[in-house]
Amino acid sequence: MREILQWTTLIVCAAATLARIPSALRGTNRSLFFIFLLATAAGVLSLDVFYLPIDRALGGINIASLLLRLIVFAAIYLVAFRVSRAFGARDAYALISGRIGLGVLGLFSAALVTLFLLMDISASSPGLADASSRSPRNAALLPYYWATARGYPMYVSLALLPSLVRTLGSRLPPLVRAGAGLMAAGAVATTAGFLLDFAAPAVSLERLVVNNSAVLFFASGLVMVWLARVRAQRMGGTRNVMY
Amino acid sequence: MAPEVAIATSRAAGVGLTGGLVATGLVTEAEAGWTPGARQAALDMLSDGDLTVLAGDRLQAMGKTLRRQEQDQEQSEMILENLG
Repeated sequence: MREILQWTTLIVCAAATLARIPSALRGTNRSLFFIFLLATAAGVLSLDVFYLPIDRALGGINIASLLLRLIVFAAIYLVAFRVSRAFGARDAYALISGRIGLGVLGLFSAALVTLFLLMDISASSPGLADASSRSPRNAALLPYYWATARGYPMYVSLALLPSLVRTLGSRLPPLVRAGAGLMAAGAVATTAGFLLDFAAPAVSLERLVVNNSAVLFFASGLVMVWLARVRAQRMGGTRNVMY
Repeated sequence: MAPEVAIATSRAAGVGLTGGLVATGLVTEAEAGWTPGARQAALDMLSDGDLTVLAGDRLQAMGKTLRRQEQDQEQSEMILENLG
């Protein structure tokens, strides 16, 4: 079950990345390609089969785990940056990519790296599952590490949610609204993932389901909006949107 | 205007049910059993001032609709440009 879920997420993201290559080569919204590429990288690092050899190559001290968390930060930041711009959500834009937004991103990244360095995790362990048994200090720090890792995606999701819900109820094309709805579901799942960190044990199935569905919701939401563009072009195109 | 709305409007206005259908152009005046030139005669009865106010109201309503469509269009383009 665990493996199926993770592989599904990885395959969906990888397929979206591949499908996005022609647009990226044409120069159309390259950031969308990078979003899917980052999501694919995160999917790869989430699987034990890939995590262990990659982490070994990086020194076997779980730097791959830190890398995975930072990749997630980058991916969710890029998604939110594009979405808030696309939906003309000035409030969300300021909270995400304005001075406040970048400050929050810097703060969370710095806290994550600091907490990681304070822990003593010198044996490769996917999801840092074995870390807390290594020392009392690890056990004390690990909850903060996870709260930081999930905190930034939750902050971004909450900042984005109002504009997504607003779009859902607008008169925009159905595919755009479906995309906004799926991304809103992704934002809710991300928030639920943060809350589950306090409620459920580290590697529980609930957490895995919620976190994977958050990624799938966001990815499929982006694909929906992309399909809306394909559709608009096929129907003769809206002004200025032809490339 | 949809026929249902035209009928409902004429019912609410207390005129003949066919009135709405004639107004929206769905049936001709003759088909509705109006005397020839009845509509023109009714319009002639209105003063220039009344007619201008009426036309102004309609233009304002049309302007609102067009502006809303333009805003929707603009927003659509913005979304597809950034996420398409």
